Amino acid sequence: MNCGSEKVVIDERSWSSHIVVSQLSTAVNPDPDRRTFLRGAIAGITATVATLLGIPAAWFLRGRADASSTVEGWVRMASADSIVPGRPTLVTATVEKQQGWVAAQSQVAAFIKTEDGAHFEALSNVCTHLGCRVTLQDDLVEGSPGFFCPCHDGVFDIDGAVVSGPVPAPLESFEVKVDEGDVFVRTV
Amino acid sequence: MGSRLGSWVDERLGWPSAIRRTLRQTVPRLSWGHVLGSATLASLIILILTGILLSFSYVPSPDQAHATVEYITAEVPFGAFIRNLHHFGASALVVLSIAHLVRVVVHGAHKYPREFTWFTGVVLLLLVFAAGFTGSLLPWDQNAFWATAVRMQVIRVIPGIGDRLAGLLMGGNELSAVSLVRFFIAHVGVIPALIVTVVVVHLRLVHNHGISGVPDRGE
Repeated sequence: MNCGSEKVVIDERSWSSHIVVSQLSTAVNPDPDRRTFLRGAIAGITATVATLLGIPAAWFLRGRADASSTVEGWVRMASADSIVPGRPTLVTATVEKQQGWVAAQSQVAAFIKTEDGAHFEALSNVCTHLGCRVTLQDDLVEGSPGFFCPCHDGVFDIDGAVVSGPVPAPLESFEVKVDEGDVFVRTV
Repeated sequence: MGSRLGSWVDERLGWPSAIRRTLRQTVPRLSWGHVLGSATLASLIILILTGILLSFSYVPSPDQAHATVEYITAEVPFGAFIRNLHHFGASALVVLSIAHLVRVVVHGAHKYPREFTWFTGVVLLLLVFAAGFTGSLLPWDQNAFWATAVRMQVIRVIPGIGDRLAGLLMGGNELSAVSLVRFFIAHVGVIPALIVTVVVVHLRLVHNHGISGVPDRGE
């Protein structure tokens, strides 16, 4: 290895007398300033590159987390004739939903009920506690039918109102319309 | 307090002082060509990071591979940026590796006592080629497929082992779903693991020998 004149500088720095070293380092040795500059430059460039890579990386990983996971628009659920008046009927429809790069089949479900065959209501079958599916059961609420969630014994009455269990809110109701004898539901 | 914590860490891990020793190492006369090794390492690090990111949204299956690449490019925030960084970073790695090799030869830094450093460097260059070769199939578009198909024909003409080697790489007699998974796992698992291992040896050797300076007249 070929160190040349730099060897002298290193020897100076190892001298034990503080005064001599400080005099030499200001007079002869430009190193301290250069070192500070280089250290700052390296830290600055590293921080800049890390930021330029880090921010896109974070956004990349977040991906499409902000995209809506719900099915938009009206979904045809059933023909109006098939809903028996007086008793909620669970109907399902299959819709196409874009999940990332896959066009996936997704199920939309709702309890649809009518009293007169002309006016319809739709209730979600998703428990408001932790998202399990509720079922319609007879004799659940003081002898009348209601919705039961098997996961934590949540009970809703026939209109979706909270009766007992850990459920925090009534079942969600959806907008309904009838068009040419078909029942449509909007789940958003 | 800070220095007490510093010495607590140092006594147990030896890192702060090791880094300080490295930074204070005296180096011989250097040229700008000496940055090429570090530049190669930097592009390797960028490739590993962007590669990890890309693998979050890539599926090595013929019916989904290209859809996932399109999804990354068009849908994922900064997806095109990350993918292009990986794409052009790969080209940069090849170019910088070769430039680094040429610099080493020009300065005679491959000679005694650094033969083994040189040898690991050559292994690394071959691994870089292998990574580029396997990675170029993954977008699974026409260019990727047919370029790889042509390369497979080239491999077949190797005397004796050509057909068997191509069969081993493709997992069969033609480019298929089997080949895509093989190329994928070679590209994201086997080759990077080998590269990182050999890079560690390579850097350790550089550190052990000290940097070889620009040779003086008559050296």
